[in-house]
Amino acid sequence: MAARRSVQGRFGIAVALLWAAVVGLVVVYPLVMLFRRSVEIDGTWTLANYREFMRTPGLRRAALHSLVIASSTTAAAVLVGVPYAWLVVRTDLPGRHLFRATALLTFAAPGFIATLGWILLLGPRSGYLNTPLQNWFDLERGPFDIFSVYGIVFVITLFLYPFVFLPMSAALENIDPSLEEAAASIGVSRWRIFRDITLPLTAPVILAGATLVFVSSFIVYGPVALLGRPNGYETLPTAVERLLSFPPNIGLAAVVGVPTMALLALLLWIQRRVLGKRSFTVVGGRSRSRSVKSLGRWRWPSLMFPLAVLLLSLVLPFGVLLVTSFRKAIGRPLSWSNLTFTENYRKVFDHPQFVESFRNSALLAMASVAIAVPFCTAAAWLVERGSLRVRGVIPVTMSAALAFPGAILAVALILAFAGEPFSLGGSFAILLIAYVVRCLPLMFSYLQAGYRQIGVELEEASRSVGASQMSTAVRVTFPLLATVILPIAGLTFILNFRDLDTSIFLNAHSTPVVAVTLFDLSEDGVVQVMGGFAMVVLACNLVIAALIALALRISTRRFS
Amino acid sequence: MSHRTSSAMVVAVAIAGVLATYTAVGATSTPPPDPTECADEFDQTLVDAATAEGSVVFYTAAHTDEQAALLAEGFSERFGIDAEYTRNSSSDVINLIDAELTSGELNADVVGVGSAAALAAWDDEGMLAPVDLPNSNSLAPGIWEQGGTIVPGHLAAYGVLYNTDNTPEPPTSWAELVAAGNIGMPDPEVSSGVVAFLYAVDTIMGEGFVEDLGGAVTMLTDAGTALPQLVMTGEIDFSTPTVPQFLAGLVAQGEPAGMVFMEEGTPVVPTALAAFAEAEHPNAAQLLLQYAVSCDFQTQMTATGSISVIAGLAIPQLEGASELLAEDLVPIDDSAAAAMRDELIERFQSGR
Repeated sequence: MAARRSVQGRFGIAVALLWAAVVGLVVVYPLVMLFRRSVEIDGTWTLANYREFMRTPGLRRAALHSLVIASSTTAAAVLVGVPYAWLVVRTDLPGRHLFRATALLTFAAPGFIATLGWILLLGPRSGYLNTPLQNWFDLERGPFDIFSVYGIVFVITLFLYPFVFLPMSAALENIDPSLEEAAASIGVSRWRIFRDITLPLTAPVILAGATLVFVSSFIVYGPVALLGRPNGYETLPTAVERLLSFPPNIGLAAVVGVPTMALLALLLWIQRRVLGKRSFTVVGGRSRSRSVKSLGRWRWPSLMFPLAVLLLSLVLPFGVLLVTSFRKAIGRPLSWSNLTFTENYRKVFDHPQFVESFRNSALLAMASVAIAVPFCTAAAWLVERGSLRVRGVIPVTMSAALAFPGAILAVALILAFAGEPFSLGGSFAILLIAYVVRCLPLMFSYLQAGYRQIGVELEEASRSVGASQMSTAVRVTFPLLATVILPIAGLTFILNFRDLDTSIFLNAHSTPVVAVTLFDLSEDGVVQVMGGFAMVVLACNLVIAALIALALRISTRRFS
Repeated sequence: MSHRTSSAMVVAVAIAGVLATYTAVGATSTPPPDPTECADEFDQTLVDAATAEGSVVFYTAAHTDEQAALLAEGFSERFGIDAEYTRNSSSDVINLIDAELTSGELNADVVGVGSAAALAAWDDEGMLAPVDLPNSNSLAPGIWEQGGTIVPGHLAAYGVLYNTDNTPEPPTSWAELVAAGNIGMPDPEVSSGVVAFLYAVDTIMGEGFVEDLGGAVTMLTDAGTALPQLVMTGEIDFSTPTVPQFLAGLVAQGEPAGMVFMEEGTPVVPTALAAFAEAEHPNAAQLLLQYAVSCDFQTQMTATGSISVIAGLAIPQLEGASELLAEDLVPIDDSAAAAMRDELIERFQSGR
């Protein structure tokens, strides 16, 4: 059993103090300002906003709807992500490297882009997939209606399943195959091995991924606004938008984040209770070689499942946007005379903010990842290796930003940093702070799960021969964490590169970013140019994903 | 000279003044003046003071992205002063400014929103600066009183967008539109402009129409986003309220887009611009407002589909749109609309 190693030295305390200072400034301070707004009306402290929240039937209903969406999406994402990861990492599935690399691309564009793609595909009256079925079976409307609860869960699942798939893949990669081989050698069936050995060992990452999916789908805005509002289906984020509309009520809108935070804290507490003090060490002191299961005659039939996931999450929604980017007019039927392969892309590259928005988004994404990786690694180290009494607050604090929809978080950052002494309103710096804060929950969650899989004895062995804690971290721990750091850094880069919810509130015309430019194009009705812009974003992220996949292969070969 | 004006009242009077001017001069047959013939004059003292400030920041929901860019570029080119803008919905602009005010540092010098009612609270608190417009004599009579705080930026007429290929014979009246059904609209709970629209059609069509409209709307969206696309793809047949600026963009793209203005009356919404009294660049803010209602810029606005506030400038007749006559325009008292917000939304929802 792995034992938590006490970190009582000055190094550990220094790391803890540094962590506290940074998280206090960029996470706690803005949220305190927001909380203050929720309990202060005209200079008087009051719980009136909270009472109104509880009294308003629409808000209670919206909260219930959020729970429904979150629960359904989480279940679906786990059902997709876990077997998908197993197939891709642990079997000889054809094209598995491609499937793994492309999972990141579901995040290539803001959620509303993929949602617009699905509206084009499954709109009940004119969806490209619905219309042929409607004609063949002589129906009044298409059989599939994307503007429904099922449509919302469907789209969000395809968008968020990588939160389970990616860490599960990394965890499966790190498991010592001898555990499973030993079980197989005594005749245990594959299913039992998976159920009784593999799943328990990967429980931390599944729970971490499921928590992220749950909270993310609880507060997701774009797909619900586009697909739910037409039928009056409201969740908390769309209810928040209504509260922020004229006349705005920021105090009441800020209240929405509080129950979400409470829910998040509950989920993290459940996670801790379930995982408890059990050991999930799978990367021990002995070298291992990766085993790949042969699927035998099921090899090609098994391909259907990942192909379906790839088709639905990437090919169809982005494919329809690709086709849209080649159309002259979306109001006219698709025909050769209505196609142009260059005009819309010329407009994309001629867009006055094209270069600047890409540059700003790339810089912000890179800088935020560069800041967040060491910070989250230090935080995860404090939790998994430290013995400080207060380390229990670290996961909740690091995940706090997840509880707030992007618009509310942006308001919190403005309240905190737009005024004196910071005066960062409309600046590049406030966007950078926002991007760092937004990526902390995800990155911390994965790194914490990654730490759980690394045996303490490796670090103890290093310390026992005289290496310092820093040297041990750099030469032993971090290389082993590379299989987690690389994909999460890549995922965070892509997520921040296309962030919309927070950017649209914080960015000024002088600091354009990709997602806001895309949104402006959508609002102006130039869907074809928006489609072309989205394709360029996708291509950039394709390059990023390929580089990450390459780096991952190199690191796993090096340390296997 | 009053420093605070009843925003909604002056705007309603302003629109009436504009309409009277259009009718009086037969403006529908008068082409817009050549921008090069505009003889805008600006006080050099103000220009010098603004130039010394170096820049101006405006947050706007009163302009499309194209119009905001035109305003910023035109202003910069004319005076050599950097103009930085953020464009968003009215509620987002107001929330952004509200948050900055709470933080103690306001970045915006000038604000533009969809209706004057949205600025009423700030106006009542004395947060908006009085404005003098050098071309006040060029504006329609009664539209502006020197020293007022809220400047009518332009007028937006609400029509109905449709796909000309799918719907060769669109409805020409509000009653026909409701009967045709399959309408898309922004949700009135999140759009103050739609509330004003509901107020207007309630006024035009009388009792029961708002409920009928609610029943005919098959799709509500969070804002105007995606509605033009949904009309073009055929997911919905009509979208309203839609302003002509959207039509201009779609037609330029080659879309089979059309807009019809209803025979019972076309609601007209005035946009509202104002400078903050505590602006960091007060002189540049004043100058920007003066430029925003100048002949030069207003002429550019009419080219994008907006109705100008300057006397004599024609109501733009856009390609793909039905004829829009001055006598068909129905001005909206947006403070009255705001006061009836909850009732209008409830009635609208009751029909769904």
